[in-house]
Amino acid sequence: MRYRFMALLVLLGWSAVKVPWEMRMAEERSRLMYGADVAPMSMKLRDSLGQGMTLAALGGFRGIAANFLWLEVTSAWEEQQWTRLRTLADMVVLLQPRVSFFWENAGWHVAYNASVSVEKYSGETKGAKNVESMRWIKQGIDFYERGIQAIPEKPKLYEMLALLYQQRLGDHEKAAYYYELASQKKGAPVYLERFVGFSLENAGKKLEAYNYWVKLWKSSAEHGPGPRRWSMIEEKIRKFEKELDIPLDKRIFHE
Amino acid sequence: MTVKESVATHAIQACGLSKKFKLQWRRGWLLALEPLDLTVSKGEVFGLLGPNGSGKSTTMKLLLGLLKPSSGTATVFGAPAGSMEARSKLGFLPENPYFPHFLSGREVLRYYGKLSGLSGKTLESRMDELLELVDLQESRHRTLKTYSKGMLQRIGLAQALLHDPDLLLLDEPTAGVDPLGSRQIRDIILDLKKRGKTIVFSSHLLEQVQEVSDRVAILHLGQKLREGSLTELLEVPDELEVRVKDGGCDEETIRQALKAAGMTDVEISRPRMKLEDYFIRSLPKHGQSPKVK
Amino acid sequence: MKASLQRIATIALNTLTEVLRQRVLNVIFLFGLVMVGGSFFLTDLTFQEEFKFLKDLGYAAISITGTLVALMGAAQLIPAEIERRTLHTLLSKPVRRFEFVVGKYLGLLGLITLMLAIMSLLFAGVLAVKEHLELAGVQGAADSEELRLYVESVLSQSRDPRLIQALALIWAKLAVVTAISVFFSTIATSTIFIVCTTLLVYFIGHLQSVARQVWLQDMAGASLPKNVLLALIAFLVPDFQSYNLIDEIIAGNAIAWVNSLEILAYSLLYVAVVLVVSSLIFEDREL
Repeated sequence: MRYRFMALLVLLGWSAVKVPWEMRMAEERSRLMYGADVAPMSMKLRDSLGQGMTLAALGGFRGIAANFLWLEVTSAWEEQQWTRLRTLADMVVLLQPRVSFFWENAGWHVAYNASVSVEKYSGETKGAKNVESMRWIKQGIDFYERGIQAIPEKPKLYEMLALLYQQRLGDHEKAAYYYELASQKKGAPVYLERFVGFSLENAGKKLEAYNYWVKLWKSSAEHGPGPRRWSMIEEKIRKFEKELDIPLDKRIFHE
Repeated sequence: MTVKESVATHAIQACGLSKKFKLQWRRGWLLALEPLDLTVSKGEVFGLLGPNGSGKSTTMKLLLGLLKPSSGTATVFGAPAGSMEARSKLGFLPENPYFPHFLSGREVLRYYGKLSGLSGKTLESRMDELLELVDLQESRHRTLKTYSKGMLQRIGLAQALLHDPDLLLLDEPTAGVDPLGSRQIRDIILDLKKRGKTIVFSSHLLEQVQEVSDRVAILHLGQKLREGSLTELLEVPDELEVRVKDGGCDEETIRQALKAAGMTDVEISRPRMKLEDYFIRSLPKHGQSPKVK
Repeated sequence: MKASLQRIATIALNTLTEVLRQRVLNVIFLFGLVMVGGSFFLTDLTFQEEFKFLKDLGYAAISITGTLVALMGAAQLIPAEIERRTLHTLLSKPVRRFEFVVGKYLGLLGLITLMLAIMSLLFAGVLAVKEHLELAGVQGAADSEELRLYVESVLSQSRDPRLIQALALIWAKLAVVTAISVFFSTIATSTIFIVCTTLLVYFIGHLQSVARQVWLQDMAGASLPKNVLLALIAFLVPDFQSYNLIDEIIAGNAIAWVNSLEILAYSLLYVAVVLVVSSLIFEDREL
């Protein structure tokens, strides 16, 4: 009998250690996963997932469940069933909010494929088509923004959002904003920092563009040949200094 | 005799050893063994007799430490029954030998040998020795799945003897074994006794018990009914048995001679050898293959 | 002490031999088929999708196979020894009961480790083949930035060294499940019962973090039975969500080794506690 008592003591001792430790690990996990560690699933999600998927997700196989749903997304795309695609994509990103790929492509599907398809093929009047198309683009923005919240440390989603503003909405200022954010993230392709400048120029913000090019120039002591394309930047700076009539003492290049 | 002395000469000493089992689903207890006092001296061969359900296995399990007593104590060579010390001094042959059947004869011995604390060359030579003793050298590489009942019994005996224990507990050692095998086992037991080992075994086969034991105890429904040496228990006190070599005398002559000496209550018959002996003698010598016609 | 360890090692090795001779490893062939079959099934996807699917499939297959073995292994082995009475013979030798429990566990863990290693190699092989097929289509000099990025991208998917971290975490999770299975086998005799209870704990474990949070937050307002139930879950059941970092690693996000090591430490300590408790309870068990 005394063995069972000892066993109980061990269990109690362990639970005193275990619970705070688990709480700490959960916090750490939250920090690492930017709060996207959604342990419980909402009833709504459970209902839409169905039994098999729910079981898989409970068993720690969210990836598989998400992948299967993603295949459905692809087939919805092929069949041009945009609303269904959107619903499915929502479930996928809820299951695996930390997989950049899903946000990227969900956004792409609705902002480009859906909106273009609606423009071309929905038999509405031109005005209605535009409204409809715009709606899908906004959903794309929504995906990108939510994705950025879930995965703030990677450049890709910022880049895609910037591209969306630039290509589909012609809002170069917003594009510049997001390009800049993207360029600051670890692993960002080197060309992104230049896109900021280009976007500012396209937005007609010459002074801001000039200041930006100068900021870039000053961010490095060396200006030799390389991927950062200093020669082009130099050209830009010179051009703006002339155009904007910058006072000589404030110029970088004086000839 | 002081307590220490008495403990020292006894291989097993049980005082008031009892076991109750709680029955599932209903209230109540099953008294498997009523308080038992038992003493087995060193070098003795002791038989535990009794019908099924009499408490023989329970007693063995208590001595082995597989069960904890509800009351009372038991010691093996002075150490508490079931303790590491006690178990290192005894060997156990279970009824219906249960061994990992996916291992070969050799591997089983090696496994149990290691668990008994043997290793290396000592273990290997001991294994060979014992395989020789129980006549399983040829089958030592086959898995136990392929062994017959008799072979399993023999490997069981071998594993019980691995670490040369001073006490052997044998649970129905010859149950289901053919007469030849039984004879072999009996010979081994007698040999061990000669070497000073103590042996306690339980059996239904009363004739065999009679052949080897010094003392026996009879159990029934958890109670010890009788205990004592075979001489004490079985000798008919007021009769004599005489065997005479047939030197030409006939029955009548002997009767007359005895009558003259005042003995009238006389029974005369031709002695019979035991069927077992006859059976074994009828078999071809070991190693001979059956003749093909 | 040394003798104790030797006895544990003997029992562990014997357990491993037993399961190997029962051809448990054949189940790996099933795994192999699933992996290879699965990889050919995914042809119409982008390489990113392909690799993600492959990796998720691989990990799920390894995880499921390992979990099945962990569940069935202990559930079958220990009751069988008790039923077939081989345990009686074993315990007639100078062997301590806890040595039996720990030895059995280590034998099982050895099997699982072996299986994991083989499956991981197979998995790596499939990834390597996929990588080869993917890059074989890329001709010409890798001069342009785009091409270089593409190749880099493919390789980062297929040759991620962090995948080893994920494997370590899967191993740790399986170690805990096995320990729980061993625990139930020391107190129960029916194989089905043991499998079911272990599975139950497995699922509850994935919800333990929720139970814990609810219990801590709502303690004052909740009813007593609810409190007790949640408290029991929080105290006794492991938090399997800890292993969610595996998803992160597979998704390609960076997780420092420190975090994985912490989870490993938690798992090992959990296993130790479960084994101690199992041994203590087993001491009293009537045979």
